[in-house]
Amino acid sequence: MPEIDSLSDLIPVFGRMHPLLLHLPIGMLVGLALLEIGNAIGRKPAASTFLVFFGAVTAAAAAASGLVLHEEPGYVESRVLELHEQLGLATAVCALVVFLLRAFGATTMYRWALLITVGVMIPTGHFGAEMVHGKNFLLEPLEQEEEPAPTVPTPSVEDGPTLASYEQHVVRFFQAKCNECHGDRKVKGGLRMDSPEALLAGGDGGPAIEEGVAPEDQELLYRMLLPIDDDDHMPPDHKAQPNEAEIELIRAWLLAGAPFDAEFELAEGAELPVTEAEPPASETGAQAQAPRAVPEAVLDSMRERLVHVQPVREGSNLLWVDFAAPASQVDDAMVRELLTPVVDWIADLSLARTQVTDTSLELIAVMPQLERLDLRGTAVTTAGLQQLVDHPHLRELVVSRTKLDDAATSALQRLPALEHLWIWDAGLSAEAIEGLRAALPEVVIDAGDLGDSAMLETEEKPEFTSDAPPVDAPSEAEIAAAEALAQKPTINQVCLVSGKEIDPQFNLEHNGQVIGFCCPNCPKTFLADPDKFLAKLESSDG
Amino acid sequence: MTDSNTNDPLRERELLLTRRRFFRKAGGTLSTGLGALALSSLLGRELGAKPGSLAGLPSNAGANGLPLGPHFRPKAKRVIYMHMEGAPSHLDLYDYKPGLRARFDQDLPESVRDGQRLTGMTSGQARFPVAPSLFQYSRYENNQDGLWLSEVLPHTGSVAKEICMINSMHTEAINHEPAITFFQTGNQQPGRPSFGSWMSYGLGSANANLPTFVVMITQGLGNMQALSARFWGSGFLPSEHQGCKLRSGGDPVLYLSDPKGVSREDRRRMLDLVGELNEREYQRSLDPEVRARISQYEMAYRMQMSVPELTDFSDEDAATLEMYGPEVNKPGSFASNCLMARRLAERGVRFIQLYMRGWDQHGNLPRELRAQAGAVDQPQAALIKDLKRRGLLDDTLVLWAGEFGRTVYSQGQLTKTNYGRDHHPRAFSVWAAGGGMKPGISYGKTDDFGYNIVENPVSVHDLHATLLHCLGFDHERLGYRHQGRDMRLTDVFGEVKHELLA
Repeated sequence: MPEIDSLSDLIPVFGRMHPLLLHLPIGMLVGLALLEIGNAIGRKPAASTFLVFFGAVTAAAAAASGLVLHEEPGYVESRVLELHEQLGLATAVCALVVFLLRAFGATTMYRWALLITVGVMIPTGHFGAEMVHGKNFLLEPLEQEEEPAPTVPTPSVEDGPTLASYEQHVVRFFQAKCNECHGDRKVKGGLRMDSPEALLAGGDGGPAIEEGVAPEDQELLYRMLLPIDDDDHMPPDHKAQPNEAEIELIRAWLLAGAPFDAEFELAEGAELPVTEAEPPASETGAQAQAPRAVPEAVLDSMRERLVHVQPVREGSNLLWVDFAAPASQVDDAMVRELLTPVVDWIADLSLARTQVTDTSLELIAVMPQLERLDLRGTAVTTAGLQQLVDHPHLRELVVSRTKLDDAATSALQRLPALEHLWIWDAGLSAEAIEGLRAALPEVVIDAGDLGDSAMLETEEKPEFTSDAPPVDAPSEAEIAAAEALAQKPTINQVCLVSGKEIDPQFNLEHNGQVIGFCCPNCPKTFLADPDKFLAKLESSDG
Repeated sequence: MTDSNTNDPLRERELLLTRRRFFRKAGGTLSTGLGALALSSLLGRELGAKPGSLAGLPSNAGANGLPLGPHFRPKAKRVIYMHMEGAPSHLDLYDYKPGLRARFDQDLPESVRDGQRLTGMTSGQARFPVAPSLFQYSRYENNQDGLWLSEVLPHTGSVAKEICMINSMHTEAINHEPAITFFQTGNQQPGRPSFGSWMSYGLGSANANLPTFVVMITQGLGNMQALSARFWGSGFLPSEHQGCKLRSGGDPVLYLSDPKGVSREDRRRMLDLVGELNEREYQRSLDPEVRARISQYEMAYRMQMSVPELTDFSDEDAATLEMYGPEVNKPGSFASNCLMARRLAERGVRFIQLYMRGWDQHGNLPRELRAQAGAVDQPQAALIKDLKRRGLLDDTLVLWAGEFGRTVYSQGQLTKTNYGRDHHPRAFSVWAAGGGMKPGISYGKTDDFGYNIVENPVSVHDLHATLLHCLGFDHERLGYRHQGRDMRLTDVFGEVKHELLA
């Protein structure tokens, strides 16, 4: 149990009961108004005086608790807050007047006052809700279509570091995951995160960003990296959490010294957060207009028909679609039906071993993001392939076992992004394939015709001998050193370990002294505890 | 992530309860017997795509029902893992040590063995005589200065340009059972999920008509060790992720065919009626598991068509069959299983594991190894060529590995025509092809005795991390919380070997 020293400690608790209390007068007063209207029109039972009293008291309590709550840190003075507060007080006063009129029996005036009270209360609630849920919460669902054209993920750039900036990326992250509580509506912990100045100024707990501090020790990142169940973890555990890419973005930004106007490099291999990605300037048109979310109902209908569909990677809108499971039943009509709604998102499409014909190539040709297409084992002909001409992104094309002919080479030469082509058993003659290889030296062309890896040499039939010198044999220098050591006088005459006669070939140099031993094992015993054996020597001397 | 399911213990508990309920409800009807378990594994596939369904944790499902997909754009979409059970001798196949020929019957130097623990099979030996390989080696063209292979692998030599040879593998275990377990699950103790199960969990199926993780076994021609089903078990992952063993004789999947006297039409009528009853139960209880069950029956019905089609080789042309060698039409042979692997790969199966038994040559190595290699050489080379021309090698990762290597010294009597080799975990060779691994290279070196690694050691965890990388996974992020701890295939180890990547 929390300790309570005096009643005044309970005041903030009362303030926080505002969200609970405020609903009581709303329901009560609206209900009373309806009863009175019903009574005025159709002689239905009138409201009881007690309920009017209850409505007035709870209205007053809601207003009072609201005033207390306002005293807590974290609320920014704003027009909305001001209006909510003033109207709330007005509602409370009106509700008390209503009760008094009722108590004194002024029925007509009571009824009018009740209507006025409800009329004041509705905008009060509206502004209160706006503070909690944000502007336009109510009508938002109706306005989705007017949202700015969402973006598609940037196609991965293989070379060079990825650049990001505060304006383009960091701000968006703050807006998405932080500013709800650290912005113009609320300033939890005294911290605002909606401007460079505010970030540098920090909050009650100190600065969010400091100069010369490692990224992980910066309050900003430190809090994000705390375990989610830590009380200091940010954002709080019930709020949307930053993803890996966003954390890496902040880490890279802090590492670069938190620049507000210069670009900074992401760590190697890191990618920009997907929601923040901008389409590259060169890729506008269909791609830029592609809505961000893939229509889920369409994906479900694909799965119902056993078509495999998944993002090419976590967080991406680009899709890999594979018709392997229902292959033998897949025809042009089915492909058209299922893929038409998702043409904008398909990056990797396999129609291998299906019944599709050239007809489907019309649809495939307008897939703006397509990078890999597998038509293996289909009845696609050169006419179909010609529709793909000039496709901007098609990098990998599998047409093994299709019904092409030599005329296909001209179409294949007009695929600007092509890197890898599989064309085994596709109806092309060996000469046509040779011609294609000559015309497209940069493209890897796999036609199943490249020979095996050649055998370069074979060793002589192995002969087994035992001639090689043993690995552990001592070198000449080692032998010379051992011989020299054997010549030196030893400090002992009998082996210190065994007490037997010493043999010069096992002499050992230890701390500048030459010690003799009887066999190769005794030096090991000696070295395990030299002092013990040396002490023995001294005592025998003494 | 907002829908993170590993950080919130309440959510975790909720999901576990769901799974438990599933087993209680489904256990009585379906999960009796291995085949039935396999069947339920087949059936669970679609569930991963639906959060809150009866799969324990919707592993690859995002908030909108889309699988989350791999962590980054993968090079490989599937794996064909040929496990050589019993541990083939690297010295007689891949690790060329011509210098040993002049050390025949010399004692293995103390400094090389360096106190290495021995198995009970050779620890009693009075001496450790060096046994040079009896086989003649040839050098094949690759993208470096050539790949030396033993004479028993001529066909494999013909695909040397595709092979990424690792001569510096090492492992921790010295006996088969723990060593295979370690290779399959990243831990010597049984109970962790197999590699294929992690794949199934992380990627889901790409063909709802077939299992995600398929296992096929070839009986060996040499000394065989036990092969237990837990090598393809799913450990603590939901059991739908366990491997499904395709049998070589009779029904490939147990209990899949209709019983005698039941026609496909009868089956359809039965399913319609059961579906109707289940639908009524769903209307009463609103339990989504009931709907899932309906769809599972439907999938089993579809599999009755997809599995026979899969195993019927009559649509293969003669040239292809010939490429895999004379045994291709013998069910269960390595040739047949390699062709089956290609057929599974082109149908979108994620993880295809071929076990070849019989590589445990403690004695009679020259004769047994020649037979073993003869059984795998042509089919495995054919598999690579066949995948390549069909445009499948690019996104299929082929792995060839035993669980450890074999000693340079002879176990038992050494003669100029016969020897045996004991288990050797300190250094051995494995190879990969396709799927984002660098083609035509050799990586890592052992000493003159093929005993210790002297350059670029690769641990089993490193190999797992590298393979997961090819599949689009950060091995440190592909995890599952079990008993309060985040579990990974690589546990707390593993390093991606970027030199091995294309």
